[in-house]
Formats: sequence, structure tokens, C-alpha cells
Amino acid sequence: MTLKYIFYPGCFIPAMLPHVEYSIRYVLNRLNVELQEIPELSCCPPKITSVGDFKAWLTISARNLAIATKYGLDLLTPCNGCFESFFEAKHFIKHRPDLARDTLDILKKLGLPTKIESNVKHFVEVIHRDVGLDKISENMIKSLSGLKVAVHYGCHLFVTKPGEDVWEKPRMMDEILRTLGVEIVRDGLERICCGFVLSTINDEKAILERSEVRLKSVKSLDVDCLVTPCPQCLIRFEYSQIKLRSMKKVRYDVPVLHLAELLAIAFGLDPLKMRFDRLHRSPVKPVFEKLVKGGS
Amino acid sequence: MIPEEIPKELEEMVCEVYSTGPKRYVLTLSSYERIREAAKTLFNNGFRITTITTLDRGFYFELLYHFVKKNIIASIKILVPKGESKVPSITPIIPGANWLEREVRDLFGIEFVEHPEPKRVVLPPDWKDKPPLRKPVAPGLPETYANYLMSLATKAALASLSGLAKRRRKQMGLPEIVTPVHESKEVIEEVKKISKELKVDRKVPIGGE
Repeated sequence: MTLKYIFYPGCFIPAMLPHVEYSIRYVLNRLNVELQEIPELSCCPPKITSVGDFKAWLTISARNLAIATKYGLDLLTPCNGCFESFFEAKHFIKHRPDLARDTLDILKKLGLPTKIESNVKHFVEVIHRDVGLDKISENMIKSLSGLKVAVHYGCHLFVTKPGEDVWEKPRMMDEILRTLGVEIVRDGLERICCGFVLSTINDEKAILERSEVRLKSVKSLDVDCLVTPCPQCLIRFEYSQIKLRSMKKVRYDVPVLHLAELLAIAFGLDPLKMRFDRLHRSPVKPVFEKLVKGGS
Repeated sequence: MIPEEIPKELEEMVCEVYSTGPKRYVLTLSSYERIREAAKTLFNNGFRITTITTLDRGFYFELLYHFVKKNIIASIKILVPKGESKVPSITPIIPGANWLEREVRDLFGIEFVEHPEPKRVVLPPDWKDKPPLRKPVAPGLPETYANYLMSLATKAALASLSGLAKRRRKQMGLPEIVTPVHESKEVIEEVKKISKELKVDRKVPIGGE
């Protein structure tokens, strides 16, 4: 059976991480997941815009969900920020009619469905729950055994409905990595903020009090790299390392990879041929070399 | 950790606790929507409300509900987005909060949902101007958020594809047009229309028709 979703890569991945988008599309293609591209969709927009205007955030987010509903498909996003925005917008529409009244009026005026049926699914959920770990094993050309990683899930992978297990999706990521043969090393800081949101107000504080805390810890773990399913975390941890070199004359040299890149490598993609190392801002080349040469 | 003088039931509603003096605590709720629940807990444990302080922080309001029991003062702090400006009323639980909430409503324009008597108490009934202590959002809206809102309302996106990104995408064989960083005029116009209808242009410039 072919799984089909509306693909919503968000803005960070297409604009700044083409290697991640390539890996995601490569992996989903191998797993027989069909992606529909819908040009009518707008920015998610990130939940943080609700600080400036709650109704504008809710309405623009709900408009995207209503369009997905019109197509009768769920949204698949690999962006933790987009995931949170759609997830919460659906919650408000469904459970807070007092806050959603104006939004529903506008959807109606735009000729869009006011009953939002579509859901948003994170890339991790689709891979783990909808596709399944067996399919991942079947499609693996090589095991990534021997690779030791630290993980950084990204805050919004913990977003759930009230009462649900917040660790469900992070555990899915762990299980995907273990299926690939990867060893996960813990430091207990997997849930700390990478500093992305704080950086929108105070970049220096975000680097010193968020990103560096995790980087320092990961450095001490003696792992090959840090893996994240979140584009913001990836960008933040790579950028912060560059900034820390000039701010504090400190080098962490922690390679930071996206989960999709590891999946793609296990499925046969050669990141060195694709020159992914040139698109990263952390020293990922030795990791790619290890994975391309090694494995079974 | 909740101090021993404060009811333990508040623990799961609170995201921050600090002390400003002996027996004087400030407890920030993780969501302003739980104010009624928090007030009920304190009230049922012998605390009475003394007053409500409101601070206009630019893009949000900070409300402090000061509760007292003997020599203990517990101030419950909530943060309310200005875009919303609605808070559940605690008057149905504590009738003594009636005038306090009405005063905040008059001066800051915050609605207290399910207040049994939402009438003017400080301002004359025919007051037409804006609430006198409410500041406009824009000057207090941090530049980043103002930029986000403006970008959202005018471009339907927070980011666009740079020339370099376009070249890289082409080299990798990725689709030239990708949601949501396309520049579709129809989408931009629709989002602009929504923003105008919701009066976002009162906070940030959106531009002409």
C-alpha cells in the first residue's frame, strides 16, 4: 500500500538545508511514500508569531489545515516548528471554539472547510508508525553499526495532546536509530533547548546559556556526532560552534547531522558524492567517511 | 518546589516560584487559562484576595493576583498575550474579585470571561477612547516579532529562497518551487486579506491594497 501525504518541508529546510530535503525525499521515495506538493499553502506560521497576534497565527495555520482537509490528506512535515504550529492550531480549533470563532468565520468566507479533518504528522512519526521499522530494515543497504551518537530531539517533538506520553515521539527516533544499528549515548540533556527561540531575542545569551551547554556535554561523551530530527536545532548547533570560536576562542568540533541523512546513508546514498559535507557548517566529513567506508 | 505554606495542589499548575521576602512568594502559572483553578485552590485553603496588579509589558500583560493568609502573601502571576487580552474571571469563585477585575478591564481593556457583572467601575459609562493604561502593541512588540508578523502578513512566509539556495536546489535536482517558500501572488494576497481582516495592520505595516 502506498502512503500519501501533503509534503510540508517548512522554510528552514528548503532555504538553508537542501541536503536534508534531499535526504528526506530520498528516504520517503525508498519507503514508497508518495508526496503531494500543494502550492496554495502558506507559512505554517510558527507558534511564536502568536505572541504578536494570536488570531493571525491561528487563522493562517488553520487555513493550511483546511486546504489539506480539502485534499483529504494529512500533512507530513520534517520541521519541528511547523509540526508544533499545526498540531496546536488543530487543538485550538477543536477544543477552544471561543478562540476559534473568528478563524472559522474567515475560513468560511474563503470557501474552505471549517471542520478540520487533516492532521499533521512529523517525519519521525511517519517513518516509525505509518511506515514501520520492518520496512526500514528491509530497505537498508548497510548497517550503521559502529556509529555512536548523541541525540537532540528538539522541543517540539515533545508536543502531544493533553495526557499523552510526551516521550512517545522521541522514543520513536531512538528506535529508528537503533534499527539502523546506531548506538545512542546519553547525557541527560537531550531535552534542553538548543537556543533557537531565545536567539530571536538575544543571540549571545542563546549561544552561551543554551547551545554551548549541550555542545560541551556532547563533546565529553566521545561520540561520532550529534543527531537531530529538527532543522532549527541542526542550524543552531552548527552556527553556535562557529560563533563560539570567535566569542570565546573555544572549538567544539561536534559534527551535527539530521536523522534523515543517516537513514539515507543506510538506504544507499553516498553523502560524499552528493557533497553534503560542503553544505554543513560542522566537521561532518570524517563521519561520512566512516559511514561510507564502513558498514555491512 | 512549592513552599510549605502554599497548597501543594498548585505544584502542577506552576512553572516558576520565587520569594521576594519573608513569607512572600510569587508563583507563575504555566498557563493563564488556569487562573480560576489556582484561585479556587487558594480560596479553599483559607487565602483571600487583596488586589490585582496589572503591568503592560508591550506584547503581553502581566497580571499578579495577590492572595493573603495571616502573614503569608502568595502572588499568582499570569502572562496574557495582548493579541488575546482575555482571562477567565475568578469572580464566580471569589465574589470579592468583582471590582478588581472590572478595574483592570476599564484601564487595560482585558476581558474577564464569565464575569457576572462586566460593567464600568473606574471609567464613566460613556467612555469612548481606548483603555487609558493600555499601550499600543507595536512599540512594545520586540523587533523580531514585529518583523515576523510583517513578513507573514506581506509575504505569507518568514523566509524566502535566496539566489544561492535556488542554485543549490537546482544542482541537487530538488523542485524549483516548494511550499511554503514560493512567491505565489494568490497565496500572498489571501494571507494579506486575512491579516487585514484581523487588523494586524494596527500592529505592523502591511502596505496598500
